[in-house]
Amino acid sequence: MSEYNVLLISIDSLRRDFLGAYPTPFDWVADLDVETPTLDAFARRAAVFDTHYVGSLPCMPARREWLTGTQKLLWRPWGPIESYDVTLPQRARRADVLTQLQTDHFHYFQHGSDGYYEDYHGFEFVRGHEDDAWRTDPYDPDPVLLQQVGYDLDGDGVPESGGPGRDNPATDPHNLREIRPRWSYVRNVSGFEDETDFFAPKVLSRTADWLAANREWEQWFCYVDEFDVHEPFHCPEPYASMYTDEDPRDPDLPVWPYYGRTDAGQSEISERELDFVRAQFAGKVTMVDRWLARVFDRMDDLGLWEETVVVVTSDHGHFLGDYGWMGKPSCPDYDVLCRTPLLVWHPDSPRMGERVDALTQSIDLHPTILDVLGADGAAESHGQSLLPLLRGERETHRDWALYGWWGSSVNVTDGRYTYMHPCDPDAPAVCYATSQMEPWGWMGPTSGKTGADAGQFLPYTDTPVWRFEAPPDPRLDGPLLFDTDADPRQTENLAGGDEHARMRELLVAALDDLRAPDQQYERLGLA
Amino acid sequence: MSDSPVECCANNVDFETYRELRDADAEVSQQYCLGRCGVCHDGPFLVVDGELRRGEYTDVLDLE
Repeated sequence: MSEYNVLLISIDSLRRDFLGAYPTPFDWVADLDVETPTLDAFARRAAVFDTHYVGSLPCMPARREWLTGTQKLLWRPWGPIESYDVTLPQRARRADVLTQLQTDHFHYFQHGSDGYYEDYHGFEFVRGHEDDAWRTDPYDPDPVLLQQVGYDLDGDGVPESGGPGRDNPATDPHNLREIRPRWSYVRNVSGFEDETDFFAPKVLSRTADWLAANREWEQWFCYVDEFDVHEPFHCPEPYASMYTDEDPRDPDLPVWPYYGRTDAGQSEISERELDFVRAQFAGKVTMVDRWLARVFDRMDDLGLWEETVVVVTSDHGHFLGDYGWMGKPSCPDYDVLCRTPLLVWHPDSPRMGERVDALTQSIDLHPTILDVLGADGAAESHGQSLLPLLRGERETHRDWALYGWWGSSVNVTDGRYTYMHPCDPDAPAVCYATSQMEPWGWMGPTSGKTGADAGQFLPYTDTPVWRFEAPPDPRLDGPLLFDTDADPRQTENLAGGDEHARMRELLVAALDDLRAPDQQYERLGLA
Repeated sequence: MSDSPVECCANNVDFETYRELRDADAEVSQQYCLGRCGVCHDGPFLVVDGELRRGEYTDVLDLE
């Protein structure tokens, strides 16, 4: 058995360029000068991975990669743990390792996400983030926050009277037909007074307490799945005013912008509003950082650093007006979203305090954690363990990282060039899953897929699955190719140039290695 | 991607409807989710110039 504990901390939607440990190509980010002293200090003592990329997007697909080692974007989207999956906490149990989940990530308890928390020996869930279906009171919630999360109250600050059949739930905080009403958040946080009431402070302080209360166990794996800094970007003080001179309670200033274009449609946003959103995002980053110090300070007190591997990462970034986009919309998968932070502390690694240039990917965390825990299953993972890098045995790690969204364009990088390859917009996306999950309405009720057929379609399991079609999400009008060394802002499209053919071949090699279904080659024009 | 202020949600269309919208005269931009999940589950809708419009796509687009 390995002697190390593992503390895996994922901070949702954390842009790496908001951390002092990473550079930013964007002046507006540099101008914010976001305070992250805890993570900066951790980065100085840990290994900082400079070329780390996501795999399957967004939130739950990333977690399925971390927990099961399945890079699923070629086969299915956001959905439950599959019947043939063996989760990381299951494998850790078999190695006699205590497992614990600390989280405020409410998606675990929605449609389309079962199987992600059940295998831990214990889990603690802080209720109320985003539209967690938690509180239904008070009947008339805070009108200022209602407007800041997107309700149109006719400017008079008074919620319109509700009732069944109202046409537009965005004007009615009493609408009961909405599946994921934004009023849930406003009611959930009703009565919150200071930062100790908010989500990251609760999750991270309770994690510190868990470490102290479980000191006697011989070995443990603790996954801290912190949903902040995910929207809504609603901050307590002092963070709400830390990066803006605006009144954070101005009802005209949004904390929950719609995803999409910033210059058109329902996601259109003014410069003033955008500046405020960016400031609130920055405030959340600093709030998470400050409360993470509780965890690290407790590790100091308990003397845990010499027996614990600590991994800090994120599932993806978040567009905040970059390239004219907000959120995680249907748009090209720039590095803002896809090049994520990865900081690893390993008490016996010679790479501590160094930067790691090698190309790595989120799915590599799965076999890495199994290896550290002394659990089996690493050989079956789509990822590759980072331990040879951390031991100083290798300087390189993988030739490609394939990443993106199911049913969309597909991206590949060699660590320098990022190549975004379009799909045929007239070809359907095909979903392969053991359940008739919703290919796009991930968190809503399911519906029967009458056109589905079933069979042994997957290269990594003999388990039969459903196969059914859905509309694609094309994202790209043509290929995009960027040299991220020379052009970290990804502004000069090199498609058609000298590197295009090589990166296209690298994409095919990645699809071949993963044994992608034939239909993927066809819809990508690579057959 | 389109500059059109008409937006549809990938979850709100089947593949055939998706194809029809692509072929329609009105330029419709698609997002995989428009954050209107209750309306989306109830039936067809579009967001036109930022405003939600319920109804069959052809009817909504004919209004434009």
